[in-house]
Amino acid sequence: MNKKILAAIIAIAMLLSAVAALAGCDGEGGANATETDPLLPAHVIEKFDVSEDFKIGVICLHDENSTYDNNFIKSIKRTQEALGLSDSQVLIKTNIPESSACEDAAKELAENGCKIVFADSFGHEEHMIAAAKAYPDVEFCHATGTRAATEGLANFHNAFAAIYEGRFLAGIVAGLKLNEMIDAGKITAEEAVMGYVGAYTYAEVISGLTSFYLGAKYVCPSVTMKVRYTGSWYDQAAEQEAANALIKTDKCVLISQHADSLGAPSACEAEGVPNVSYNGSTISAGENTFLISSAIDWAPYFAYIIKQVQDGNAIDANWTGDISTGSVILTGLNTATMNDKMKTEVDSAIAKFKAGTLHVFDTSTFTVGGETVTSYLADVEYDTSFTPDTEVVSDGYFHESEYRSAPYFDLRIDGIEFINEMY
Amino acid sequence: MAIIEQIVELLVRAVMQGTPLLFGSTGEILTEKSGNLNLGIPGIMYIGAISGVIGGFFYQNYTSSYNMILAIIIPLLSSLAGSLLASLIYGFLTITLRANQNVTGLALTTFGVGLGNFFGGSLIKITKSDTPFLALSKISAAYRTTLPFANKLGLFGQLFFSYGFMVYLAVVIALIVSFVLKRTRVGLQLRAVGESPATADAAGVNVNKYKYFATCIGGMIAGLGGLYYILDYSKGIWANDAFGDRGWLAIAIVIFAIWRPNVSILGSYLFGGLYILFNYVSVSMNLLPLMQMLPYVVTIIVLVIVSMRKKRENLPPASLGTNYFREER
Repeated sequence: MNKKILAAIIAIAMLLSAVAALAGCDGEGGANATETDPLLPAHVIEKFDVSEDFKIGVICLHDENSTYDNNFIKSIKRTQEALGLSDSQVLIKTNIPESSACEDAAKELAENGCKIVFADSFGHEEHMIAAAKAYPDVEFCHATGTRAATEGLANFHNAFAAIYEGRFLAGIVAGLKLNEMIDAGKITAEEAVMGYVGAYTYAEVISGLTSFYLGAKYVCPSVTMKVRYTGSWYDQAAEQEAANALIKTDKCVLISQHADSLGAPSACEAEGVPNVSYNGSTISAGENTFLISSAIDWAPYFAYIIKQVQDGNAIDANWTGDISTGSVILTGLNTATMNDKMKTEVDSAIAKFKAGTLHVFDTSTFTVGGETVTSYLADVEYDTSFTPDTEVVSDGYFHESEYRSAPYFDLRIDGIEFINEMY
Repeated sequence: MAIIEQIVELLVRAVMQGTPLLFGSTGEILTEKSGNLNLGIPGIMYIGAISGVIGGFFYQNYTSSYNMILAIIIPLLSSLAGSLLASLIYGFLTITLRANQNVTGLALTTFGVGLGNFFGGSLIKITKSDTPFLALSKISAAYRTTLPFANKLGLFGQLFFSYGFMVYLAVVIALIVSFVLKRTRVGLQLRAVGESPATADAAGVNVNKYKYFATCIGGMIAGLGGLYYILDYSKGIWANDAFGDRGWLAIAIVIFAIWRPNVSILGSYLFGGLYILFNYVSVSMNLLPLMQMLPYVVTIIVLVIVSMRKKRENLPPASLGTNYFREER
C-alpha cells in the first residue's frame, strides 16, 4: 500500500515538474484576434526631476489580479518608469481592506517617509481622512472619493476622471454597430435594444451607463437600453447570468458592463453578441464580439501630484482628468467586428470634446419622464443623508464632475429601463 | 409561450450552475462514506480547476496544431492529477498520520485557493494581458461542444441536449457512485469502514486502503467540478477567485442529499436554480438576500427533520470526522 502511494506521489511530482519546466518558456499570448491602434492612446508622461528622497505610497484594495486595481498598478508603474523613480521610492501596498487596516497602512507609509499616500477604493476614504489628520505634512490623495471639499483638510484630496466621455465614445461605436445590424436587416430599428450589466445603482454606474447610452443614441436614434445590476463589483457568475438574461430574456443585441469580471464579455462571446468592455481590452475573451473598451488612465494624475509636491504647490482638492489630460483612454477597435465609420465618428467626437462643443449630458438629447431637464439639484457636498445641494444644469447641459470630481449624475432618463436595483 | 421559454432557460442555467456542485457533492459523499470529513473539498475543486487550466494553457499556446480530443483530454488529465495530489495530502495527513480532519481540511482549502491564485496569477503574467484574466477559448469550445441535433429539437433539445459533455458526466458519475455504494460488495465494505472501522477491520476489510481510495477518488471527482466551472460554464475564462464559494455549497448539498449521490443530482440543480432565480423573477431587491439564503435554509430544515426522525439510513456515517486507531480497539 505505502509503495503504491509513494509511486503515485512520485508520478505526480514528475508531471508537475514537467509542467513547471514548460512554464519557464516564454509565452506568446495565444490570441489570434487583432486590434487597431488605440483610438485614444495613453499620453506619454513628460519627465521632470524628482528628488532622490521623494517617496509615494499607493494603497490598493486588491492586487494586480483584480481588473480595477490592476489599472492603478499599471498606471503608477508607468509613471515610475517615466520619471525614473527607483523601486524604493514607490511603495505599493496591495490587498488593503476598506477598514482601519487602510488607516494603519496609510500611517505606516507616512512613517516610512512617503510625501504622498494614495488610496484607490471608495471605501478607503474615511480611513484616509483619519490618517490625513494625524500626518498634516503628508499629502493624502484618494481616487473616487467625495469628501475632500467638505472636509476642508489642506492635505486631503479627491480625484476622478471624466470617464463618461470615454463611455460616450464607446457608445458611439456601439450605436454604429447597431446601425450596421439594422442596415443588414438583422434587426429592425425598434429591435436595437442594448443591455447593460452594472454593479450597483450608484451615481458612478448610472452616470457611466447613461453616457454610454447617449453615445449610442448620438448615432442610432432608435436605440433603447435595459439594465441589470448584480449587487457586486466582482462576481463572474452573477455578471455572466445577468448578461445571459439580458440576451435571452430581454432580447438585447449588444451588451456593455460596469463590473470587474469577464462574466459579461464571455457570455457575449458564447452567444455571438457584440460587447463594449471597460477597464482595458478583453479581446482575448471575445475574439469575435469585442468592440472597444474605455478606461481611466491614472498615470497623468500620479504625475500631477508628484509634480505639485516636488514644486511645493498645493494639490487640487478635487481633480477631474479628461481627454485633454490623457486620463480618458480608449483601446483600438477589434478588426473582426469594426466597420469603416467607427474610427471617423469617434475621432470627430473627440475633436468636439476637445473644442468644448460637445457635451455628453446635453439636455436637448434626452428627457426624464417625457420632459426636458432644465434644473437639477444634485448631491455634490458630502453629508450622510445625501441631501441634494447644488444646481448642476446650466448652459443647456448637466455639468457632470465639475463641482466635484466623483460623478453625481443619477437621473433616470427615458429610453433606459432599469430591470432591477442594487444598493 | 414566452413563459415556457423562460422556464426552460431558467432550468438550463440551473443545470449549468448546479453541475460544479454535483461534482463537488458526489466527491464529498464518497469521501465521507469512508468516515473522512474532507473540508478541503473547496480547495481541491480550486486545485482541480487550476491544474486543468495549466494543462489547457500549455496545450493551447504551445502547440501549432489543434486537436479537439487532445484539447479535452489534456486539461482533464491535468485536473485529475492535481486533485489526486491534493487528496493525497489530505489522506496522508488524516489516514496515515491521523491528524485532525477538520483542521487538515480547512488548511487544505486555504492552501488550494492560494495555490490556484498563485498559478493563475503567474499564467496571467506570462500572457502580458491588458486585463488580468486568462482566456482558453479554443479549449472551452471543445468542452462546450453539444450534440449536433440539439438545436433542431426546440425547447426539448435545449433542455436536455444543449450542454457540454461534462454535465452528463456529472450525472453518470453520481449514478455510478450511488450504485456502487448501495448495490456492490465494495460499496458495502466502504460503508462499513465509515460506520465502524473497527468492525470492518475485524471482518478483514483493509480500512486504510478504503479510506485512501475513497478520499482520492472523491477528491478527483470534486476536482472535475472546478474544471467544469472554468472550461465550460465560464467559457474558459480564468480569473483569480472567480470560482467563489461553490465548494462550501457542495458540502451543504451533501447534508441536503442525506449522503445519497442520486439525491444530490436534484439538490445540486435546485441550489443552482436558486442561485440565479433572481434574474428570472421580479422580487423587491430588499428580498434578494433572503432568496440567496434559501439553499442554506433548506439545508438546515433537512438537518432538523433528519435528526428528529432518526432513521439510521439517513444519518451521517457513524465514524465521520474521527480517525481510526487500530490500537485503540
